[in-house]
Amino acid sequence: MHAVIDRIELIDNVMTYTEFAQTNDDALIEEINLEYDTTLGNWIETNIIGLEEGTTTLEEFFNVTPLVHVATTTISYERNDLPLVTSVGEL
Amino acid sequence: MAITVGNKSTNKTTPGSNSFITFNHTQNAGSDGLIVIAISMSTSNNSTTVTYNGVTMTERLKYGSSQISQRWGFWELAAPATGSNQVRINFTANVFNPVNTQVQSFTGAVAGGLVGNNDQASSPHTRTRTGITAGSVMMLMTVSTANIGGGNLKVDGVTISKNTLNNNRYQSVGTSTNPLSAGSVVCIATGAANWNTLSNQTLEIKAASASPARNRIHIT
Repeated sequence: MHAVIDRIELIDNVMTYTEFAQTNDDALIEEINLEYDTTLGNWIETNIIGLEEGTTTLEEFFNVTPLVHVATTTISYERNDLPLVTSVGEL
Repeated sequence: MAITVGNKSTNKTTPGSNSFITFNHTQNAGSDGLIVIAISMSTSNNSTTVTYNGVTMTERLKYGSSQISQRWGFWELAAPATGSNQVRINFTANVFNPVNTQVQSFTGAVAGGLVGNNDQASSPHTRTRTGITAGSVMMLMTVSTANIGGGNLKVDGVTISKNTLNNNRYQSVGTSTNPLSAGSVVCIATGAANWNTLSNQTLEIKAASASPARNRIHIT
């Protein structure tokens, strides 16, 4: 599998996805997405009612965890505009 | 002209404090290009427009299922810019549920094929689509509350390659590659277990006409 890795940050109160690398390492993709699921993914799922009602804000999460990665854009081709990474240390 | 099934991208994004999603997809080089995007998301929000490289795509299907609280559809664009360009999906408001998106490129194809849409039914969910043009291929999407990643999609008796995404509902999308005969075609979505229920959406991808032969003029 080939996947694009995004950084997720809160910039000017907007949750911003920025493509910054790609990988073809299935274990790394799994590791990145598991980390996302246990941090931001889980937090949104827990707080979704408050987020939709506007009583909870994403700042509450990003003040504690400023940067999250995700690798959920899979592609059937290699992008020539993104560097290839093979380990979490390169993120 | 035969259709070539090209690059594919799949994306699952939670827009969060955004009312849009963006990511890149690379359209293959070649004549008669076509891009199709399959989207499924919670019915708590709605998509409005979809663009590729800033060009608005045509909505071919948008359906809200009260059975499984999901909204799904197909958008297509003929003659898209080739190379890596941005897909943008706009929503009516901020979206805190994940959105499943699968993008498929073609060459040798034209827009405007027939659309089929059936809400959930027991597995295997079989539908016969009629009025198919010779040389077409079929894009098939199914959505379910159950994990159908272990299931399969069949077009005209052939199991097709698929990707399955999970946004609290599961979306599988695949495209047949063999040119279909004119008339009807059977499209089957099968779950991972016989108790699964799942939807059946199809979009016919029609082949571009071959260039007309030029008349040869003999000067004597």
